[in-house]
Amino acid sequence: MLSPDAMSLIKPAAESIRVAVSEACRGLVQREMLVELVVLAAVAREHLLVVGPPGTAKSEAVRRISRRLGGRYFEYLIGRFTEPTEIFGPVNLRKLKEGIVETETAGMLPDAEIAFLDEVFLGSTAILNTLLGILNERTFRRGHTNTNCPLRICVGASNRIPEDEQLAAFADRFLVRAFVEPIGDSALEELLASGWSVRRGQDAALSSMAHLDTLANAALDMDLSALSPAIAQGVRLLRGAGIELTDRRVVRMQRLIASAAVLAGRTRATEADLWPMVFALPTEQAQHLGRDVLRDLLTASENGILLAAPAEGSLGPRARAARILKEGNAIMGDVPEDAKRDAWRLRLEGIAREIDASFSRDALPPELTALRAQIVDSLAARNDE
Amino acid sequence: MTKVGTAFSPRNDPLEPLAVVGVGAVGRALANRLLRLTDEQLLGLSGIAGDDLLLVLGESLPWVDGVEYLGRDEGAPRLLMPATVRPVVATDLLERAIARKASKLPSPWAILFSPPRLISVAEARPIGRAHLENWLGAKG
Repeated sequence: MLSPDAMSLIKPAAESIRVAVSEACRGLVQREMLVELVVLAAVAREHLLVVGPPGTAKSEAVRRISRRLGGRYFEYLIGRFTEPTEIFGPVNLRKLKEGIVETETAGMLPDAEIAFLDEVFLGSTAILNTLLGILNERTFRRGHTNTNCPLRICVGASNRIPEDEQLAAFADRFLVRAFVEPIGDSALEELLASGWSVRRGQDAALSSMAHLDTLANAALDMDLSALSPAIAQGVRLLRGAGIELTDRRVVRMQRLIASAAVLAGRTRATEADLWPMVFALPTEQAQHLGRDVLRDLLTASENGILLAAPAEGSLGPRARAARILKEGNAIMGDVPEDAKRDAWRLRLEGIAREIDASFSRDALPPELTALRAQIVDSLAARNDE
Repeated sequence: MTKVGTAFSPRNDPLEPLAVVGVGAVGRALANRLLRLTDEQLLGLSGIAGDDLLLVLGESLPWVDGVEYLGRDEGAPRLLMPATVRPVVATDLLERAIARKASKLPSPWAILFSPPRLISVAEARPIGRAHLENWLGAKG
């Protein structure tokens, strides 16, 4: 159980992360879950693999949260002919003349605190072997260079999970998996509007690596003993449903659970923090099936800092209510001038529809009852205009 | 319409909404809301109207205060039921009971739990403005 002294450091750190996530998500459409998973993985000191077609804002989501977290950021699109020097840095020619193979890593991946590698599985054997050391041990080894890396999280992106055995072994180093699809028809207007109004490169840091480290260290101290039976039960249910999990994956998903608890401001992990188990499942099909299999176990899922990911992971009512509440309050607080009222009204109706299609009146959480009443009043008032 | 009663409890995992239904004044409000949609938006919707009830099927379902959203449980593929609650009996048993009890009512059906109501949606038709206006006119 985390001590009061530890909690006094954790709370401001978690609050800064909450603000960073909220601002990073502003203007992103249906990518809130991805931003939150970057944060969860970073606190857990794990890595994230994003799988989805090109042009689905994978790198934009990672860039935004990286800027808001204040980390030193490195990004590269890897191709079949990418040389290791393009990622790890050039060889120091002066040292080379002395017979020493040393790499200049300033500004390159070994120097980064947050990294994004697009098409990560296209890297050569030389690149992937060196990357393995960085991912596993936060150590860069190449020639005579042997240095610790300040890397908190590496986000890899790919169009698909590799089937090749060797690449699959490399892919297993990315514990957290997020699968993204192009934006659905219902959100196209929102995508067009946010894409047109985006301002690049103006995101000030709202948190810091120090805050991230505070949370990561607290996660390592989190007491999971009371939750072990539930975690074991979850793994048994998943294996019973035919979902293959490596022992590494089973053990390390506990880091995600502990990190969720820390971000939620808890001194001890509870059933509300089990939802990251879904995002440790390696394939999209496994995650779909896993949500279903773990549905009862994840009913209590909720997290005050991360909203979209617990809702997506658990399909649980509390997480869903928190997400709807945040979206609804954001729309209610953003009343436009007359010319755009119709579009705003449609968004309000969308929230009301989601509330009524998700919760029976008897089971509606009090905070959503209040939001719903405000929406009904707002729409009735505008009907009278 | 046929009355079919069953107890029910909230769903933690709601069904995807495939239809929306309004009864009485809510049905009239729903019809008025539909009349404010564009012709293209109406094209994607079909519906069925009773004496005091309007049921609309489609993807982009409208909202007015008081409507109920219906979805399809995988155990009862011929039955639309409220998306946010589940019957206490198994859904496949409920569907079979309905098929026996309402044998003269063609499937697929829609069931409401409170108050209990069973409707056939076999005759659902594309929604037209004239139909909506006639229905509203007949309500007074």
